[in-house]
Amino acid sequence: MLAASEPQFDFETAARDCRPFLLQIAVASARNPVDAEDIVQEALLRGYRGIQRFRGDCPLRIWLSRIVVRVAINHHRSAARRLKRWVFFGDVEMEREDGSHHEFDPPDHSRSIPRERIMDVDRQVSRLPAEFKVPLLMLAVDGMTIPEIADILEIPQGTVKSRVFYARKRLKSALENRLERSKKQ
Amino acid sequence: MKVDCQWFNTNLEAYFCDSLDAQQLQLVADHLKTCLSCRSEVQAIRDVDPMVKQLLEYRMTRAMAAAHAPRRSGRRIGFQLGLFGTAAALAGILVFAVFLNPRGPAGPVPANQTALQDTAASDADAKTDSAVPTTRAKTDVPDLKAPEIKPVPEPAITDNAPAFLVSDPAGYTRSLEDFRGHVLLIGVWSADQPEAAQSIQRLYQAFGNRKEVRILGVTGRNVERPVGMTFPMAFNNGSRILETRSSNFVVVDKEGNVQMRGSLAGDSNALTTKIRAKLDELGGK
Repeated sequence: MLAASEPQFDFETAARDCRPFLLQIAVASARNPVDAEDIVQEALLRGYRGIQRFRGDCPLRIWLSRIVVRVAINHHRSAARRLKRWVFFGDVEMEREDGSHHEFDPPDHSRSIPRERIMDVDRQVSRLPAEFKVPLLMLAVDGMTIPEIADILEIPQGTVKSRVFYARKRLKSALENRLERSKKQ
Repeated sequence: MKVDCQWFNTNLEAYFCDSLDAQQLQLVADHLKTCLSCRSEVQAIRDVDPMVKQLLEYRMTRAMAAAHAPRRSGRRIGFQLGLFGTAAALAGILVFAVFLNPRGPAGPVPANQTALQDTAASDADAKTDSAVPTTRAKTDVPDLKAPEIKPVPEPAITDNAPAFLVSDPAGYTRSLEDFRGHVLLIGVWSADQPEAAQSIQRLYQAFGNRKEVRILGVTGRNVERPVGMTFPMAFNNGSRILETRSSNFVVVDKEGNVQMRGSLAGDSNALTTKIRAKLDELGGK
């Protein structure tokens, strides 16, 4: 366990190690995954500034994850994010390093996943209340456990289990209803 | 005890939340072997997990794509729009300030206008006239300094306010209903009462490991967690906190009824003993 009081404590190295994990937490917490990178950046900056408040009573990645979740909540509310999103809609051209332009074409790393199905699940998950959605997505993060989620969200473990259960149940019902509607059509 | 489909549907949450005891689990396992409907229900809920996993991977690819995308021309557009917006806002403030001026939008009299006035007396008047607007023009300059950022004010607590409504540090709203089935010990403290926070911390260390007890330190919205305090914090959301004043505590039973009130100040050992007796009585094991 890393503690701020230890003389060898190197925040930069520790943050670099935590970064992939934090990105997953940000993706699970943010409404739009496009914002995840910004959220992690801001959370790391806040963590660096407030490292004196880290008491070492939990792993650093859990402490940083708590900051990520709070930043994700505030990020969604911020006017700056809305302005950026508005500009992003008009952003159909991309500029290469040499200054030439080409049409917007995001890289698709998800060809192995049935895209329509994933988009459908994405829509249904987005409709879940944040208090159900965030624990459900966090549980999908590699190596994440219920006690860790409870620690990050600062809620009891029983509450995490209950919220994950209701999220699964609602998602199951929503996907079943949709399947039935599409069959009727 | 007999486990049938109705019992299983009622206790489905307990099954997924690992709240069933060993005997109940065995009975459920036996029931699932024979009941196709319940087995399908369980499987359907479990099938959600791989989909969520795939969704997280999909969202990760989107996040990574956004992070590694080449520089967008839209950002430049955004920057220009931002500059334009700032300039437009400043111009709007200026126009607003001028039109709101009760003395009217009169500015300094131009020099050529004073030169047109011909008599000595009117020269003197012109000097007076031109002097007044000059000083006025100086006072009309709007204050362009950034407004002082003030903390968000605490919501006013009226008689119509809810009895208990707080937010946890993650931003989720919690009401008394969320703690139903648990004995709830609420300590109310504020930033200028560190001894109240220390009392709550002592109570948390004494009773925090009891499964059926929940402890909450409720405070105002703008208060930060003091160093060394590990008790679960919650921020009052404009509720009356069950009519509990700062530096006091309240014990709520599993049905949501207030069973005990008191002050967090005073002898900590006596306070702990008193609360322990009440928690034992209420079944907060």
